[in-house]
Amino acid sequence: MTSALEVTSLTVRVGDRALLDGVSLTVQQGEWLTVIGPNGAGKTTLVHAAAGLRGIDGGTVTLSGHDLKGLKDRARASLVAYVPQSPVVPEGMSVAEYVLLGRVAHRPLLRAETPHDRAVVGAVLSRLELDGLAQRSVHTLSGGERQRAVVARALVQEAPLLVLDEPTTGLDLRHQLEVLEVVAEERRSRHIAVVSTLHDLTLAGRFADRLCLLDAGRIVRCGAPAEVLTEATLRTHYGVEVTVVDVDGTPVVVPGPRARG
Amino acid sequence: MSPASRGARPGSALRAWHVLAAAAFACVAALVGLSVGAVHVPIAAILGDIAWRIHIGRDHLGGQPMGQVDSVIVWTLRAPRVVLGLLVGGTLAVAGGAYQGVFRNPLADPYLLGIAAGAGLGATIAIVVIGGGANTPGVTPIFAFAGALVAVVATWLVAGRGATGPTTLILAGIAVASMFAAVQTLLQQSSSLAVRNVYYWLLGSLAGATWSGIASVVPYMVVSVAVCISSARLLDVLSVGELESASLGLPVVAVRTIVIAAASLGAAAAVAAAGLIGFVGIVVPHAVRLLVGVSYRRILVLSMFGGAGFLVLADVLARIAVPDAELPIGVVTAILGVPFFVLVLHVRRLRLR
Repeated sequence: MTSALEVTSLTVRVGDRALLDGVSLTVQQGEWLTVIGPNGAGKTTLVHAAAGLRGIDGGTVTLSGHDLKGLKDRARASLVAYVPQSPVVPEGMSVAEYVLLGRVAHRPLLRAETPHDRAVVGAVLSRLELDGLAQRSVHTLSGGERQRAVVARALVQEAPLLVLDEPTTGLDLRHQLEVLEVVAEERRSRHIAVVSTLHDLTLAGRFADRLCLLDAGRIVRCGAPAEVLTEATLRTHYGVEVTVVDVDGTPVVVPGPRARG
Repeated sequence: MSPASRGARPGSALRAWHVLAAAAFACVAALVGLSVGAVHVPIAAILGDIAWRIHIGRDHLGGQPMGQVDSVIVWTLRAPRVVLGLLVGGTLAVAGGAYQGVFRNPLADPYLLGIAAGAGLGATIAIVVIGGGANTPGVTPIFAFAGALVAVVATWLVAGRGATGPTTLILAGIAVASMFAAVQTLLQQSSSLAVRNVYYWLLGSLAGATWSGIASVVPYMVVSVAVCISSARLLDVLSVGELESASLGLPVVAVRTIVIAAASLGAAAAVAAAGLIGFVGIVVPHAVRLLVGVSYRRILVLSMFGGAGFLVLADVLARIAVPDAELPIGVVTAILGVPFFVLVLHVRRLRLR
């Protein structure tokens, strides 16, 4: 089986500085991989490169067996869907129209949407419990609702790989969980692969099969959450003392040194 | 049908009654344009004459021909002017709307990328160098058209192929416009006659409309409007920004290039035909946006009719506002456009409450 995403020796430079330096990773169909790392480690660059949204200076990115280099925009958009960290919210556009934008890749550019496109949008809106909001303007939605609409737009692309850049930014705890649960449920039921970046290490460990820790443009460790989220690793790469507690098999990262005594 | 699938329609699709209403506005404006002037010819008489000219067997649809003098006034003198007004107004409004979509900036106008300065320089060269200070009909428009296109291409080249976004293009447009304006000023130093003729020409007028002049600009305008309107759906996608629309599969650079090229071609043809007429390209798409929403599928088609009718009405005012004289039409578009815009803005605000 071809993997949903294969990144080999990926290098991205700006001037002399390497934002990514020989990054390699593979994400299987149905797998959830979360990239963690301190600010400036190159997480967003990696996500953008994997989604074909920026040029690369070395290495290859392969989406479901297709080299990204040879892919046209629409072919690429049917292999990878992207959820941005801070989406542009167009004023005056309804949720239904906004989500329908995700179907661009599925028809000739100048063609109107088909009944099938609308059916796909309708199905995703109801799975994400957005059907009641279909006629609302996107910019009047609350943060959590808006983020679900953005995820819905990515899901109607029906791509085998979903890439999310910090999808929980600015959300309260309940809405953070809600968005991640939606993605988890879609992954289970549709068997799509998920690559995300997340700042919250505990959430990262809870929702991903595998974590990759990125520091200064290199992957320093990849593995199951419990293997990556260790006190020693985090101290080295984040430069702070943390305490990792095991709660029913999930590592919980508590900032600050272990209490003495 | 689920509520959501029904929900994908309102707010974006063009509706028949929108188009009918907008087309009716343009038709009424055209009739007023044919009717009003130094000699008033009643609209009923014009309609009767049109009906009479439509032969179906021997039936003239109950119409009656106009008198010969009226016929010359309406069909020989006013008709080219009205047709040119419809064409220039429609093209400028569509080009303005398209620019606003490409740059995702509501303040973009058709002259953004140096077209005004380019046309100005072209016209100046024609008047100073070719005409020896005088305006040569038939030559000045060609130079203005060429100058406008040269300016846009120069802007494109200055920004560079790897231009990271529209901001670079806008900055390049400002640089090119300043350069062209400086050269224009330099050339104008030669004579005060030239200065007067250049400004007179640039201020804009539909007075010089002829059928042959119209025939020479129509192809560019038709191509421009057709390309812009068929790209409306893509401009809607572009409203989520460059990065996101690229992630959705939109070939952003190609779309931007094609739409800018088409809109610029139309604007250049409009300037060549009627001089620099400001405000139509901004105020008309905005009024349409405030009335029917943000989708370019609506904005562009309706702006075409709206701009066409608006400019013809502005021209009527330019003809009759001051007895025995004509105002520059650009002055009228601003004087007429601003209060109208304010009105629409307030109506909209009340409705939102």
